[in-house]
Amino acid sequence: MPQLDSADVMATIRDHLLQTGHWADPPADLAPDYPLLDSGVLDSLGLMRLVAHIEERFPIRIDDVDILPENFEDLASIVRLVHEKALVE
Amino acid sequence: MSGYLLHHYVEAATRRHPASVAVLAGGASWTYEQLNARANQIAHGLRDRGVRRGDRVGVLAAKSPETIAALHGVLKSGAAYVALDANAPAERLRRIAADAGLAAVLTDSLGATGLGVPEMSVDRGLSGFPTDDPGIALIDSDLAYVLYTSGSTGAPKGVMLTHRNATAFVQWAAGEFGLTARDRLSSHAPLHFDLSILDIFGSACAAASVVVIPAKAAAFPVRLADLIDRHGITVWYSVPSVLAGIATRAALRPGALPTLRTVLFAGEVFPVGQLRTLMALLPHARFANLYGPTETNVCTWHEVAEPPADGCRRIPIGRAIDNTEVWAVGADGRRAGPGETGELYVRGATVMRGYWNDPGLTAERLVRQGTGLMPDEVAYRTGDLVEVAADGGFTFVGRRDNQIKRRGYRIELGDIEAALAAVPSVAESAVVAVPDATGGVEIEAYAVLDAGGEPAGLLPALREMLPAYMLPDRLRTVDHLPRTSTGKVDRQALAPRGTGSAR
Repeated sequence: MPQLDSADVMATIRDHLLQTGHWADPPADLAPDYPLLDSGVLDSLGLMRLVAHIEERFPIRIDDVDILPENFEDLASIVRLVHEKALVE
Repeated sequence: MSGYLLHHYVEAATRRHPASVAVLAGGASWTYEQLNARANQIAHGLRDRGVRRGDRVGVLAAKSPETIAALHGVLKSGAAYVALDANAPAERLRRIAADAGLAAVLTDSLGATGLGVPEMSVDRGLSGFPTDDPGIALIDSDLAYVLYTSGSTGAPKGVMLTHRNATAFVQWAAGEFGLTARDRLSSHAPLHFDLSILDIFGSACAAASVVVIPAKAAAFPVRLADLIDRHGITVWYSVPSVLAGIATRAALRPGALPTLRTVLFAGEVFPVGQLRTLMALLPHARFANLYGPTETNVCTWHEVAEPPADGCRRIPIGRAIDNTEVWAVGADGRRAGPGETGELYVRGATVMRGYWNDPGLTAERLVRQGTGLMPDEVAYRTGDLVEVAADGGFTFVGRRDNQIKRRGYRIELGDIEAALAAVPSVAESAVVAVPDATGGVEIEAYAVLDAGGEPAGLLPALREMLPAYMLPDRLRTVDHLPRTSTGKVDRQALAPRGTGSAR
């Protein structure tokens, strides 16, 4: 079972979101509970890129049925999803 | 006679099918009788506030039954509607409101638009107004709506479309795709985007239902498939990128979504592989590519009768729709023949009346060119380059200028450059489009900063000026921009830099 470090998962996803263009405020403001979907930080294209990025960086596969609003609402939910997927690999 | 004005559709549907469902949105379900009554109250309310034939009225509200009633209501009042993007920066909305000279703005419970224009609610304070059709005298060359698109100089430009421009397209689509009162159409595109014309008015034309797709579900293919299934959507219309998501990430098995009989797409090029995947999953559905710049509604279409063959690189845009004529003009000024490439020209019922407040640009794009034109008649030059097939159909191959399409939105790269140039610390800027791995494009912006300029301030500044769909995917600061021998910014030298080894 792959061991994923929570802080590393959070930092990887956070960095990706900061670099993909839709985040405009100071980086420090991108908190774990910041609403990514309601704010438009994560749109349909960004979401697909994020999923590909996560699958590339971590030894997990995100199933189609996991791509749901509740799993991508904020950084905390995405990190939770990545850990859940790591457990079943 | 009825049917020559865009709001005649909802009125006729109400007479024929008053109790049929007109709009489904979340838990709400409105019949034609309800929708038409609310539209009439809004029209009477606008008249009461002094709105008259030829005025422009803004609509700044989330998509809902009330907001759809507002579109019909503005038309019934004799005015033209200007749908505003609630997610656009306030500054851009203020510029549009000022440019359009809005007489009023309709808004939902969000209220307080800050546009400096008299506001009226689409859901409150209307009960005192009559529910009967106001019957304002109009003709089909009156303005129906103004759509604002990206402009090359940094100012959004307003495309003026008449009742006839829209009804010509809607009637063709309703006939060609056999829309009936039993259909359920998706409403995926935002109302400031011209794909919404088919959703809103095509459904009314057929007395069919329109199902509002919540913006939040739009990014989630599994949710979209679930909505199609649950609401029994029969006709879907969206940009290809959304359908590509459904093709690849909705966990569908062949034969899924049995109610979905027709899949229409427009706004950008559909990557062939993903279309093939979708067609294999939905063998029962009919697929068609609709093409047309905002200035022409839809002017050509291509039925994808069979899944594209392996060697197929691009889905054609096909041939003219009814009552519209299209042709391509080659570099030598002559009509392009089979195998040749040229700029696409459009003449006919769907071609816009012009750009609002911009006679110069109008004269540049609406030109007296073509054969058999009447004395005052013009054709629209699209700026799109097409290849002519042996059978006379067309395939889009690129643009003549710096305009790109991304997720169906039309973007002038000059518009982004102008926004960057407006940031005080930016000395120079250039914006280029580079292909991405999935057949789409990414926007890369390059900026040279003044001494002491902070890169971190650029994106926040852009976000104040541009809607999210126009924000660059990558923003790089560089010491200088490459130049051509004539001293112009060398965009071709910039483009490969961003793509790294991908080239």
